[in-house]
Amino acid sequence: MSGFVITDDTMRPPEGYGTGLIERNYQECPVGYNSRPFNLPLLTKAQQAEFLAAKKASKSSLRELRRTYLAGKPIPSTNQEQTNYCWSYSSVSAVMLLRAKQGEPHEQLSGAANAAKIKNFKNVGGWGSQSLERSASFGVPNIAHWAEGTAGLNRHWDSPQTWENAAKHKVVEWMDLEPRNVDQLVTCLLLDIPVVSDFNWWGHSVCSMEVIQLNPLRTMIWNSWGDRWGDLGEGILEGSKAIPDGMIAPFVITGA
Amino acid sequence: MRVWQLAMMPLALLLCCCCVLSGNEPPSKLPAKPPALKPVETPVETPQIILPTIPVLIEPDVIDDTPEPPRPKPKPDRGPVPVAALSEDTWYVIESSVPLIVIHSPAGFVGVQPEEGPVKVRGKFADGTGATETRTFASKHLYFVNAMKAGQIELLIVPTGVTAEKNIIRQTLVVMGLAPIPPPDPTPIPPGPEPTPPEPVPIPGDSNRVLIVYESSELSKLPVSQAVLMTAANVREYLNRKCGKGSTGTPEFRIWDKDTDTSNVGQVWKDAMGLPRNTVPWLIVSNGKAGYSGPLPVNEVELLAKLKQYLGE
Repeated sequence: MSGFVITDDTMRPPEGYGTGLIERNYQECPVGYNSRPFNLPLLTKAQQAEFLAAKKASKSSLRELRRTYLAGKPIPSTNQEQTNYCWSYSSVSAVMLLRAKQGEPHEQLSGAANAAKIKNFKNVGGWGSQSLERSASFGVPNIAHWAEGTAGLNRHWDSPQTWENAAKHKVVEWMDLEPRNVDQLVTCLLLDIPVVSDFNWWGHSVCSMEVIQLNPLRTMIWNSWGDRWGDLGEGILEGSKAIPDGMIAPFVITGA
Repeated sequence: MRVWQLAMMPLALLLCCCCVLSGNEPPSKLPAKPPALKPVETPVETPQIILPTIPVLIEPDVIDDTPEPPRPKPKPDRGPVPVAALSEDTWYVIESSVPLIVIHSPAGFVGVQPEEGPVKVRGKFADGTGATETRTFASKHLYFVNAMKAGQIELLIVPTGVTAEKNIIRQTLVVMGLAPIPPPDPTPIPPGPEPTPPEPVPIPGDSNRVLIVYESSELSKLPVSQAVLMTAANVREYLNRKCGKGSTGTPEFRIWDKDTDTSNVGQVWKDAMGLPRNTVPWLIVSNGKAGYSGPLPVNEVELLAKLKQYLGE
């Protein structure tokens, strides 16, 4: 598969865009500190190869869903603009993918809302599981109720109506993966479970959505820099760059 | 106290009671403290709920005075039967002496409007002759049920404050589907072979709908050909093309983990999710008239064949 490969040269955000990952301290926040640890039966290497082949043959992937979900057109990428809230946009992208997987009506969700609430409207960084934890407790509002990007730093979005809307888009079940555990990452992605992925080398959190190749590992990620970045907002990570330092995987959300 | 006072006490008590009942003060020279009156036990109001019947009941059932929960009076062999059909442009009127909660399941087939009685209404009634009539409904609490679309529903009529399931009235209604039930025929029906009941439709309604229920933690134990079906492009393309469209234009199919929170979903999906399942993954297909509810086929070819059986090519 050809595509936009993310390298040291192409990793930098375009002018006017932010990242915002703060490395999670696993001594203070160990695996499972705010959720249950990964608990799926791991796919063996042989199963991984079998799943990957079957998924390619049937064009079965979250990325394919994202590309075609809106009557053959793609779900728009999120856009964090100059904010440091990547760690919230990555979990929102995962929730939107799960909604597509479930066949729910599409809602473009706001990555700004939960990050702004967690950080008291300060434009500072965080890590993926922080935003996912709040998405489980309060849900995620759509962009009609809370704008994304820099406009989302405004307090006027914070209203009861907003959180009433957010409650329709809650994460119900999610798992905390061990940092840099490739088998857990691959098992999730081959089972169409999106993975909120924190990459320390990149200082950035994005949503991993597909395994392209097992050895060496290549994954497709969905970024939060709009559709004009990469290949319609998507990019390919290869080798060690594809292995997240922090991973959290939502897999059940509110139905609609 | 002297002897004559003791002798007069019963008379004084009698006078006192009479005065209290008549609203007069007791004579001041009689013993000052009248005996305490026992509180009068007010009978517990028994809900009086009247459903449409055929033939129309002229007199409501007499309610027993006993404080026990009401039991339906035994009906004569060929007595009135509850109306079980509601056609278009007719009212199914529930009368009650107490407030009710009237629930209909599945939703969307009827409307329910509460009214305060007595009211005089001109219209056609489910227990009527089919002609327009004028009726006065004397009960304080009235619930007018009207047909919205064809299907079969169950009315659950819950008197306010009810604490026992046996006091909830259930009534099945065929909406816009059958002719009014004729009055019972006094001639006995000769025994014959039991008609075969039609296979129930998994998801009622006039739309093509599909629900797949799976367990995320079991996916890796499934055959690979089955596990990939949830996002397989051909399956999605087919579902997008053949399923009806919801109010937002979204195709009417859902693929849910068995633990998906369905508190916000429409009643039709809640009901579908509530259908009995023996295992996961599970497939429910319905075109509103016929359907399938059973294990998910194990590969794409078999799944598409099963879907096409009910939803067409």
